[in-house]
Amino acid sequence: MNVILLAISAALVNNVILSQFMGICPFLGVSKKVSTAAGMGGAVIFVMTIASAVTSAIYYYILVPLDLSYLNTIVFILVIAALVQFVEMFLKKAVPSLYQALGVYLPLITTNCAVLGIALTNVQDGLNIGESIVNGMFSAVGFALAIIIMAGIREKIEHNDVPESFKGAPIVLISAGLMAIAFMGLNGLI
Amino acid sequence: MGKITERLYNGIVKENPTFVQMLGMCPTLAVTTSAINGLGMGLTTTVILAMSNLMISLLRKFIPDKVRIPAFIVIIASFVTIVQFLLQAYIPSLNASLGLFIPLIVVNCIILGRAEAYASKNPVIPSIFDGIGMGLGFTVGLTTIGIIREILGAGSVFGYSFLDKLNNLIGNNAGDKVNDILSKQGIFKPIGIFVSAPGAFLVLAFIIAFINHRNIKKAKKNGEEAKVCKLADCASCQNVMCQGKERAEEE
Amino acid sequence: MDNLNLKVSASPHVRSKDNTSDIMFDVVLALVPATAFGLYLHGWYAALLVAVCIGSCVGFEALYQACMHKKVTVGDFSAVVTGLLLAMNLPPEFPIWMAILGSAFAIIVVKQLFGGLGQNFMNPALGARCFLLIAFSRYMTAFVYDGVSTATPLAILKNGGSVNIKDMFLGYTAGTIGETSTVALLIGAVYLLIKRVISPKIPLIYIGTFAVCIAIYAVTKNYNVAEFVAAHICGGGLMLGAWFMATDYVTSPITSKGKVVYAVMLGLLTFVLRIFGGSAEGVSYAIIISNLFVPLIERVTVPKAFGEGADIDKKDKKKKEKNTDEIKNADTATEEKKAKEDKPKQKMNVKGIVKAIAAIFVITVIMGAALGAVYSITKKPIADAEEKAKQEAYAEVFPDAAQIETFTEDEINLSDVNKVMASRGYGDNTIDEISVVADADGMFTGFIILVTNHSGYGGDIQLAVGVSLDYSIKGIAFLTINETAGLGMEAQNKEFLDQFIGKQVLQYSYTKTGSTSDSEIDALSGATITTSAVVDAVNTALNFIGGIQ
Repeated sequence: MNVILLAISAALVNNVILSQFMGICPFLGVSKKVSTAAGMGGAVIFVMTIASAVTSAIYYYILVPLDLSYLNTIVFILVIAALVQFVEMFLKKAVPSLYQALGVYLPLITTNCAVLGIALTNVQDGLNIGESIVNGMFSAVGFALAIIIMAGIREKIEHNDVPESFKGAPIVLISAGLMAIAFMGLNGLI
Repeated sequence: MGKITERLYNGIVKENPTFVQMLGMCPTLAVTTSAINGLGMGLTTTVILAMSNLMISLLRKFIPDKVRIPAFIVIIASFVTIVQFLLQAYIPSLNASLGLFIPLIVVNCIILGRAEAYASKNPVIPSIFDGIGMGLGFTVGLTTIGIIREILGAGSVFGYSFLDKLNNLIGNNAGDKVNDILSKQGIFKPIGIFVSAPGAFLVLAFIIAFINHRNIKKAKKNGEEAKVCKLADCASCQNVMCQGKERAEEE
Repeated sequence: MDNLNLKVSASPHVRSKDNTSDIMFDVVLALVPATAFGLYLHGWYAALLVAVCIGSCVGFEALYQACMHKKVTVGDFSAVVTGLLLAMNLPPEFPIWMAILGSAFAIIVVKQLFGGLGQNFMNPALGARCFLLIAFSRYMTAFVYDGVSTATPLAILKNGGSVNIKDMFLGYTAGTIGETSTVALLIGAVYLLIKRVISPKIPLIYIGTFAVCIAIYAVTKNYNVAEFVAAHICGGGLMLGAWFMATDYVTSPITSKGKVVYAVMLGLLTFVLRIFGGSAEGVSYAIIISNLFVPLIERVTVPKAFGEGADIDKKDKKKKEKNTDEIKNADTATEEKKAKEDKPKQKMNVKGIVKAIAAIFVITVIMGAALGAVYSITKKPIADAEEKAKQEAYAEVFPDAAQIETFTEDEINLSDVNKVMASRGYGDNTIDEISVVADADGMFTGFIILVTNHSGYGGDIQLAVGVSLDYSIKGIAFLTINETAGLGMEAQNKEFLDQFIGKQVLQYSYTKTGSTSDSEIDALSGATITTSAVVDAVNTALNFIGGIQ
């Protein structure tokens, strides 16, 4: 698939959260304020791009040649956990302003289904390293987009007259459902 | 015996992972397109949960605190892959329908959460049953959602298409003209949206609202404040990544 | 100054039932010409649909408010407007119960659960329309004109046909009940403009942006620009959407600059969806997608308050610098402290680290060994299961095959085969296995090709195609398919696959507007990508076989 199509598909049509249902935990939990959502989104883009590159490289240059591709789940999750630690340390020392903005969310990313999920789909769908990076980066962009839109909506409805039993999780889930309906309109794009 | 039943009750009812703790949302929304998928995923997760709780509880005195998270992850990931192979070999249909979500069980907050919150601090037998309890609670959640979505979205339940049977019954017994009108009026067509993404969110929303409603009513009767999931306290893997979440909230 | 009681409340800030119902009544009045025309075209059933929608919307709102012990506000006519707009967006023969379901969704889910009038973020009528589009796609896209199933002008245009602009302007074309007559809608719009119910800002910028995009597109495609632009403006739900739904106060931005951003976004989205999207229409989705961005647009376009500016920026910057310095200092401080404490504890720490690494290593080795063991135990059963599935699929696609012989790697080099197929334009597919079939007498009767397409919606789709010597397909069976349940997964239905069986066709294509030839198959509703993948895979198999002879 050519790069532009891949990017649009990753970010919009096959949106990580609204279509593939990965990364729902942070989507529901870290979307209360736009600033928090933006921070989380930024952190995910950062980690997912690097993770896609590294996991894809390890798969093609180490696991496959050694006929150990069945270890990909274990290896990938360890790589992601380690990566998150390194990124956190690196940001703290080298780019403190970025750490201030994103660093807080980094520990949450290790158990973010989306990062492991995209890393696995990259190799499952047979994407080469370059395509994996594009897919990883733009899937994360789609994640960030969804979480920021949700934060905007949640900020807007914060003082609404929502019925008691729907306050909290249910109304957020309904908003997500409406978002999913809207995003399905983008399905035919590719 | 008491401990075991207590663990089971806790997992299935009191701290049900799906409806009360709102953990493991990813598979909850993705694989509940049919009742059997929900059931299959739930049982698979239960098996892995029990095994990993057992292993981690066994090794709890040997795993240094500093590396406990990576250790848990290695153990859980290994069991997931083992179960994946077993499914591929002996129940390929389940493996096909659960697809990508089997490896994703690794990052299912429930498993890591129970490892951190219970198995790493408690003896083996209660840990196993804590795993089974939580897993069964998860299974109950998934299967319930799966049944609802399948009925509304495909007119069947566990693969038994009652809608088809109903349509055939009518088709064979009503006159041509009636059949024509019924067909034009889309009588007894399922509501497709419930087996796709938006439907998942909507069904879960209504189920949780219903549970909230019951809790609020009960609390009002007892004159106390109801425990409702406000989504700033519950989700995002509170057990494991508490520190990260707390820092996030201070922002 | 101390006596000022500043109350902060959420919008809307002016609530007055009389005003709302006056405005709503004006909107209803403005929609009358278009509705009347729709009823004139489509008769009593359309009138019934309109009545049902309005009745259900009002009914559900009253019911909800009564159950919730709130004041019943149906007198403000807003439910009537929602009902009327929903009806106008439905095809003329839409089933009644689905219309009722749509009304319930619009009023209860999109509007009331969020707090009622003024508090919803999505346009209820359009949210319901898109809900119905996904839930009942076949019924939502079945348009009739004069009782005969007809394609809408935009669909015809997308397929390369030509349309009559005058008919489109007056409204004598297929479409939803209220969208076809541009002139009737414009009359209503003018009424609303005169009565100052709506401002022309959003509609004009919306239509303008859209027209510019369409014009540029027409130029690049060498179409007759004026005709193409006119057709797109008159066709589909653009007029209805731009004048009556994009102008909804509640779901469009409050800020002045925000309205411009919103309108431009609408224009661009409608263009992209109509031209590059899966269906010929795009207005409804464009509007509800833009609704999602409204809170963000409002945030970004808040006008600068008087006095806001330089000083605050400088203060913020200083604060940020202080924070990052604090982090650096805190770190160096803790590091210094650690270093001081470390000296006596050093011996213990090294031991601790060694222990930690050792533990992880041991655990990894144990688990890795267990994994390896299970892998080797299950390797054969997995291969057996896969082989069994394959053989079952082969038997399914060529029922009367007595013998099936698969070519091995030595006999046919598959990667060479696939390189050739890629050069013929089938690069998205991989032929995994080629087998020949013989009957009981040993006579060669056909082929079975195992082919994988990599562009399915949910990843790879692997299927087996059984083709007899005269090129007719005997059967298709799926080995791997991970498409959307209810949509792409329907590719496994006999109804869909029968379209390929028994015909002597060398290359299939698909259409969404009713197949007109043997080599054209009807696409799965709501699953164009899946359909395209399956058709591509089948064509790969056929092309390969064709190349052999």
